[in-house]
Amino acid sequence: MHLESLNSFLPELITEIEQSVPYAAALATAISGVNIFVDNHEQRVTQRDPTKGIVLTVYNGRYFQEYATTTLDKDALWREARGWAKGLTRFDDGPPLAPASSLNHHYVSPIETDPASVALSEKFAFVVAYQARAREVDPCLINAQVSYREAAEEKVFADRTRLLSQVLSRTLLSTMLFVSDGVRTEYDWRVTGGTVGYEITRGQEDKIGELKESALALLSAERIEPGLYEVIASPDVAGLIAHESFGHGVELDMFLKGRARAREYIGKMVASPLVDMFDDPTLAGAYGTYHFDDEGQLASPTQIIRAGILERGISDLHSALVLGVPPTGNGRRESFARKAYARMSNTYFASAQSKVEEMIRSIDKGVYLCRAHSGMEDPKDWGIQLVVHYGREIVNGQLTGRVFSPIVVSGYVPDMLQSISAVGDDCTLSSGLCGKGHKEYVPVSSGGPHLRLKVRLG
Amino acid sequence: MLERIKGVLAQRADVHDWTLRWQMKKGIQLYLVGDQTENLRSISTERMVLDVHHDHNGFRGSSSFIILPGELDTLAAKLDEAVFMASLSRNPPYTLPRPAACPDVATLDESVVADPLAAAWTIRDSLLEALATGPRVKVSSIELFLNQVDTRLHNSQGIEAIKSGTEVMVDFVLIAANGHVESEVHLALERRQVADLDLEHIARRYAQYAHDSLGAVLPKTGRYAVLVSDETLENLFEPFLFHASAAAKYRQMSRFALGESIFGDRMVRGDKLTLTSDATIPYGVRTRSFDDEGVAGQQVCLIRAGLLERYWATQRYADYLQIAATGQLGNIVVAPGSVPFAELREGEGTLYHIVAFSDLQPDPVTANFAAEIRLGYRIDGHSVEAIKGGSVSGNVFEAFSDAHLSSETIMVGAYKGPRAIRFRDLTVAGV
Repeated sequence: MHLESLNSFLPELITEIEQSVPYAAALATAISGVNIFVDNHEQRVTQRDPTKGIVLTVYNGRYFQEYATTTLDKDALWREARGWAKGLTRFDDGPPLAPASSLNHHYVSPIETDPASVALSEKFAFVVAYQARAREVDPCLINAQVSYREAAEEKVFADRTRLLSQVLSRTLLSTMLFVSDGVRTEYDWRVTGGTVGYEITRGQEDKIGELKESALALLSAERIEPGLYEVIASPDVAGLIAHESFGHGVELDMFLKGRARAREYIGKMVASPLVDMFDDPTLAGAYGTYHFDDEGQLASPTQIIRAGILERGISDLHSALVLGVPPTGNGRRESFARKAYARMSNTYFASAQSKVEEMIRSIDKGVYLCRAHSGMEDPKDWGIQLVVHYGREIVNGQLTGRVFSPIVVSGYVPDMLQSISAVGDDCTLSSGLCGKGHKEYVPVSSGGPHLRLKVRLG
Repeated sequence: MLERIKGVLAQRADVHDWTLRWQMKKGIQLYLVGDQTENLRSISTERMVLDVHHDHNGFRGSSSFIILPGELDTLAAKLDEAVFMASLSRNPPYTLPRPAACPDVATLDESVVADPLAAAWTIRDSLLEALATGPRVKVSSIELFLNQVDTRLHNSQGIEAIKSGTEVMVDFVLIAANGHVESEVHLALERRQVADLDLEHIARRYAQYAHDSLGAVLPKTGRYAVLVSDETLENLFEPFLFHASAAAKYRQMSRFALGESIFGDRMVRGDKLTLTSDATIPYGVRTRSFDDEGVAGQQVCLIRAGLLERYWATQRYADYLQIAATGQLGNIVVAPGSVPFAELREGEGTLYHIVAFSDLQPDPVTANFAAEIRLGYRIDGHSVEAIKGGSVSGNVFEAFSDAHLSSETIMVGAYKGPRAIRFRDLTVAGV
């Protein structure tokens, strides 16, 4: 069943439910696709774990209530919805929720090559050939894992003023090389993703050599001496800084819960004047891109930091309603079975003027932080944890060849961002999944240019 | 629906083995900001997962797909597609589990089954009540998830099994204040039954953490003894579980060998690790009568006194290594040590006792770890000072080769074992 068949009756269903509550909406989602995995020992071609279902949302005048189900058959859904709606109670002591302006539109992401138009056998052959190339690069290589994932994401949103639908194609190609010297095993990886089509597979083989070098270098990696360092953050690490600092830190549901110190700093200097930072779900081709969010709000870019000054946060419908600010279109769900929260999309530092080579040359003793591994936010205390898979030593403006791994970057967020002393003229986004705490994963990207800053490493 | 699908499968000569899992999940999700309801959600999902295995030219290929209610008319087309997908991959053959006696395990909380919403309100009330009598804190948010999950599993080898379980998840954030200074703590708990939440004690302990966090300072940089306790422990064992897996052994990525020390040539001091995968503990988060393939839930010692006793193995990797299948991992049970918790906190020199990390996730392959400290205590004789910020780093295998485990045990999530572990020498980064 294609979701478009729901268009015929969802508005009617919403109208009926709205007879007992001030506001009702429906979001139907269907995500399907293919995962192909090949390593030295195993091959897998499977359907992506499909998600298909609908969530009915009401605002009862005080709080939200939702019913999520996999039932999409018209009669059965109508029966379930009526049964659920019978238990709803209307209140009038909460802030009024006014639906957004009228709109009826179908959105499709532009992609070059629709993955559905490429034969599965061709995709599989590509992954097998690519993996074969990767596994041959060095005798120290004990395993090469290649994973290709494509997902077709279809959503329909309906409330009393809007009937919206969108189709997105998200593809991801990841490569992991495992190397061993007989005593020690290390690995490095490369992930390329986006709201793009099969074109993502082009030109990837050229990157294998670089990946091999970095994986092999890790066999002699050392632990870093803890301390404060001048560092150059790669775009990958810069993105993680953006994401964990004033990405999670300005999700407005955190303001509502009293969990974000940023609330007290709107309009104040929180970063170096060199810093501009955005969250932009409209960025063409980026992994976190969408046309409307999971609450029917149209996607729009948000400038979070302008010249070091914190401007505004990103919101879901509930936080915008209670805080009395316009929704930014960042209400996102892990699936129809989970609640919407204020979530990031594509979060990045804007690029500026500095050349990367000059930035490295300007460091007397420091570290080039290369590969972001994971991070954790702490919007209340403005602490930050970034785990960087490896960094390269810089002495007298030169990379010495010495490698440190792993490196934990910790510190106080404003100190870290105010220490930014150079911003590169490049910009790259990395694709991945973002959790809220330890759950609620949604596709996002983060990135930016190279940054020079001072941080505590351990 | 299940019998209809089995009927169709029986007609397919190109499907050489199959597993069919039907799952129904019904539940309640309650979200509060402070003590006010933000969202109340009801969930009802049903799905059928079908694993299809196709043999070709001495190889076996597999694929999976899901059929949702109302999609039965697409079964034939989905099977065609799955068989085609399976025909692409060329893996050594393996078998599916055969019928075996499954243990009768306790996984169901009748109060959640009877009325999940009432159970959710009870949990909320208990939590707020417990917090009202402890150190003064503000409740930032509470999230409660209560589900009942019913599963039926059939496979082509004759397994027909049924299980039911409940899931209880509590997530809360508390904020302590001292004038304009505020500090928060966050905890996510997962249990099978409401009675195991022990909210009275845990809420007060976390309220105290929130208060202690207010005056916390950065730790000092250096190498110190580090005590890790309570909710921080579960993830520490990931590298042991990875290297003790048949899948890692098959991929030639395990550094462990049967009968040999998991620490290689390294001299082991302190308590030797004994680790068991146990899918039969009453109300354990990973307790089950059978796993996703139909392998019966078991109690299996993986590491005994620092030596690898056996690999845990799903049916496929068990076949590849020609060992018995243990099924998917169960709850992680670690044998306690001999030293009481109080004594582990004592001793000469500086000790850092960490009660919360931002995110402790050791690398399963290399066993390296590095994590920011959310809250800990610097203990120097009788002097105890709260710390936060900075980080602790090291390598799990190196750390456990010189570690003492507490004699007291706890059960947290899927972990049952010592309440605390004292590592002799880890790197602390601070000031």
